[in-house]
Amino acid sequence: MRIKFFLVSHKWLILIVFLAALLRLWKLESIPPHITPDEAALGYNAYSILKTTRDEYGKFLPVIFKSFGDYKPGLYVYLTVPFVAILGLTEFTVRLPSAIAGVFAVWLIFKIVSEFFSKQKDQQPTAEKLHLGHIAAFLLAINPWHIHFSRGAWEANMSLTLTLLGIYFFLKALEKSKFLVLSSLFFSLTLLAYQGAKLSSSLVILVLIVTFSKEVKSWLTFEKKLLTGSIVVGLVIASSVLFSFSRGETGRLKVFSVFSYPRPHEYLQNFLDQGDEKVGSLSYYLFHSETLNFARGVMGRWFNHFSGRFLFFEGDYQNPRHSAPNHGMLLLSDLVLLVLGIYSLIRKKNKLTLFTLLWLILSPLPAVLSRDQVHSIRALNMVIPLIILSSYGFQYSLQTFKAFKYPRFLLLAFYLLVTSSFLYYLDSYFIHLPKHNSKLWEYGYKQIVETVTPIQNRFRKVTVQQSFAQPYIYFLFYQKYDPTTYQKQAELVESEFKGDVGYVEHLDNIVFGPIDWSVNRGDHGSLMVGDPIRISPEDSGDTNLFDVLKEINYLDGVTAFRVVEVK
Amino acid sequence: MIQDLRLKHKLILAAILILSVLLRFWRFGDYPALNADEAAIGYNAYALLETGKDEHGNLWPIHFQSFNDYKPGLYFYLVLPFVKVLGLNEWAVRIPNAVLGVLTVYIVYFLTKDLFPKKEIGIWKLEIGHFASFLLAINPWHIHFSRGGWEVNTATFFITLGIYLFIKGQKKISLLMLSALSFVLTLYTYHAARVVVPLLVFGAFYIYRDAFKRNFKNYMFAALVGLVALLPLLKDLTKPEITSRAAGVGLFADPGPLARIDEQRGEHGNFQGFIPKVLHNKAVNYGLAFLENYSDHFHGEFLFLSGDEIQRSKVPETGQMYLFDILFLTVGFWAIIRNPKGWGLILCWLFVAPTAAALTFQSPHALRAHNMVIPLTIVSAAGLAEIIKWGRGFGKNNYFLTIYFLLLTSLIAWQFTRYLHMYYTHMAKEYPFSSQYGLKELVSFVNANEGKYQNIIVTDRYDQPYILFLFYLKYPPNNFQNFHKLTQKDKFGFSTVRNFGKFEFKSIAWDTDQPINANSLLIGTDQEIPDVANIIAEIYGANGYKYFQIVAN
Repeated sequence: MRIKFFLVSHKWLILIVFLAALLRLWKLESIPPHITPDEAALGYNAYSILKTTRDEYGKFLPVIFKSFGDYKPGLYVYLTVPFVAILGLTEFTVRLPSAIAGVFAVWLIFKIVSEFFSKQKDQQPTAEKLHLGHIAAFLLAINPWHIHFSRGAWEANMSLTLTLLGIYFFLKALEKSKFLVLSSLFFSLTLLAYQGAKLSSSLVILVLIVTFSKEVKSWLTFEKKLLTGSIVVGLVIASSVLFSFSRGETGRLKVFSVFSYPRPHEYLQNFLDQGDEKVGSLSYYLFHSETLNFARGVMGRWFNHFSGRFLFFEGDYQNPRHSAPNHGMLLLSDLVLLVLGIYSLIRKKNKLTLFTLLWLILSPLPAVLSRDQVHSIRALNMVIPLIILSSYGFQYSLQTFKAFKYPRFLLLAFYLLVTSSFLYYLDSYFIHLPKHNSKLWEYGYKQIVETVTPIQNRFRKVTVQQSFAQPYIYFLFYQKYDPTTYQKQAELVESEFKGDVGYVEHLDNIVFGPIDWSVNRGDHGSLMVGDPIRISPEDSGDTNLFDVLKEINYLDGVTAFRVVEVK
Repeated sequence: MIQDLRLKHKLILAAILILSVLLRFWRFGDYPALNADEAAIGYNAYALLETGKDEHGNLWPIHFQSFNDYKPGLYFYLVLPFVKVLGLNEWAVRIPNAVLGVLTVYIVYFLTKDLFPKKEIGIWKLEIGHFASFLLAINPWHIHFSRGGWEVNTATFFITLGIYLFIKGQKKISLLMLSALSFVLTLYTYHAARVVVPLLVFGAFYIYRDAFKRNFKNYMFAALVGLVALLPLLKDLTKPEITSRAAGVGLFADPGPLARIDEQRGEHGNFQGFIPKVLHNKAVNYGLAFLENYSDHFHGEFLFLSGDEIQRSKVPETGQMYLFDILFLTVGFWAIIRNPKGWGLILCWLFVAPTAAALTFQSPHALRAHNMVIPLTIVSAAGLAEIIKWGRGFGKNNYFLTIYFLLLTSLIAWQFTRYLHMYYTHMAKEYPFSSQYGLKELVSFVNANEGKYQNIIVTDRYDQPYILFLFYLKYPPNNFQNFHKLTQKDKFGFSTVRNFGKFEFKSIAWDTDQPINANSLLIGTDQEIPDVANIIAEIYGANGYKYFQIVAN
């Protein structure tokens, strides 16, 4: 009886969560068309932990994984371990934790929005409260940005769901302060899940403190012990990540920071010469200072994250892998919903509106402070306040249409707009994304491993063209290479650029290195794998000297790699 | 006391107007240098005065053929009397626009006062109108296009005037008729207005539908007046050569969205399938392109940080608006949403303003979307008013109040002086090709020396040199009209004139041109003229950039 009651009273939510699951799990193993190097690394390290309790470099249960030298916080790896244990090491299993987290987030946003209103029963009628939570959950379920990073082992998405848990328990703690420990726990776990969470989670906590300043103040006086306890729990869990600051494993932070890129000296000098100005003069400080220049850069990036180009028309134009082709981070219908949402939200005044606005303004910061003009992963947290804003717009539309002459007609037009926007996105993601640019997803490495593995031992040496795609990790992943054996030979060659990722150059008889065909064409008895530029078809056509074993094509038909035997 | 207040208000408005005059007329004749379009305006007005025909011999045209871009003609006729009185010079071409720029500031005061008449801001009980006219007086976007013969600024003036008279004319039919005329005049002035103004008028009718219903006859009569005034233009627009310019810059001239259709249908693997045809077609792809262009005009980078991409339309490191407008606009919109009464028309204007620009493929476009600046400034003024009201929150604590207003004032002052610095110190040097710097200096040299040479060959490296030569030489139109030829249109849709009199305009190929042109002046750029040549003069622009080397052959 209780189950039946639950199903009936939650039928909308259940439907929405089911929709979310469908959108996140359907064809998960093959769309996106190939796993990224990071996904392969997460998967293989989970496999390695499962088999040996050590990571690929033989380190015992690390909190931070060295991987390609980018030092990934390891929570995602550990969450993948049970799935690998049950389902084996496949593309699907690596992606599954993030997809589940994505579905969970849809449920959580419902809980969070409802929780906000449970504290303000006097202000919001119950019907409306149910509405907004459901709308938010629905809009998140069909949101391109959220779907995109739920489909794939994106640590930021895991971190986002943990953040939502942190927020949820923070809200719970307003009624029952004991929940504060859980809130702290989940916030600190975000740091173990994702590099960028240090800043993004701090911002969320800041927003919560400002929104609920009165309640927090009362904790400071009445719940000192609990508060200290929670903070200690958080710090202990996050300690290893926080300490890594001082251990120099955060070199990438410097590479990515916007502040590492001041104006070129000549540019500034030229500009100042136009007015006979000098560095250090009054007019320099007033009009041309480096601080002002950085401020302009930061503001520009902030605006970029709210531009139509990014949100609606082109998506993450600097990193095309981070959004569906020819599609923005949101649905086109959100263009209307957001405008109405702003209108509706500003006319209301409650904790949720304050929370949403504050978070919306601050959430792009991790991306804004980095060198990229836009970055949809670092700005992923934006999606939650944006969805809440859209939900307000959605709710507002439904309410105001009633006052118009032809409410049915308007309603129909409205639903048509949302539906067609959604269908347009589905087409963009499920039809176009795999074919549009499968190179982005490093398509072809799985096929390389499948081609090379059965014949690998026939050759003295196999040379695979080295690249940022880290080909070695695909061999480990798809060969399910024995971790114990690998740990003994694992060796990462540091990059010449400090803070950048390194390379692995050997795996048994496979060499990962540059291919210079004029030299390598004479490596008799070896197998060469490289792109058609390195191993050009014109220069490898002589069947007396070479045997082209396979040509691997991208999904749009262009040749990706050529596997050639040098006789 | 009230008498006193009125006087104060008048003085403040006078001060704002004086400021706007200073900003628009300071170094007005020579900075920035005259560009080819301005020279065309001036010379065509001159030709009309002298001969009753434009430079190409057309009788009193509505659209001026000019570089085959058929410029809408109203501004030419505004310049005409000034050329008559002052002669053919920069001042004559630019004065009408600068005056109309100042008048726009003046009208914006009355427009805003009419919409929001409350006198309540600060100790002087100011109105939003004061802030609006002040902010417009110092606005980079508005100053930039007031300084020079930019037709768009004149169009914006008439749009503003039309809106003001429309509001005023709810009861008075004469004002309504003037409003209609004013709107029609914009259509004679600038292409973009032909999209924006009809939409705006439509919106205005909707917003003032009650008054419309009440005084139906008045509105109909005004519309009739407008329609009659429109007839000559409509007749002119039936000529295909005039509309081709609009097609040349239009959205459909961009092949990108079209090419994408093929790509997208290809990814479906079935070009003729139902789904690919419904999802990927011209309507969808160009519709999306339009929306993206439209949204570009509300991008912070354009509005507040870097402005337009075209160098002629921008000031280095400066947005179309000031940084402080971010704050003012945010607060302004906030205040408007909380109390939207009376804002309908301004908001409608703001949303309609970029439509014309969004229909072209260069986007965002400060010139074509210029009329945005008026509604934006008014919203910004509402924000500033709100911020000043917040000052009351400090109550009688004079100390905080002083600091608060000191901060606010220095923010505005800092941004304003930075703009002036960027405009006057850096603009011409950072963008040496943004206007025809150096041409005036060149022509005055040539004018003094031409008698000694048979032919004068000038590089066409910088825009349309022929028209600037005509302008500065005050070349007799009679001698030009029938003795020149316009070239075929280039890929951007422009034509030019290659020679008149003893002048020839072409890119200099030193090795072939030098031997065959004895007893001539060869005028080329640094790159075109080798150092070994017999260089008799080098021509620098007022910005210190070396534009020409003159060789006596």
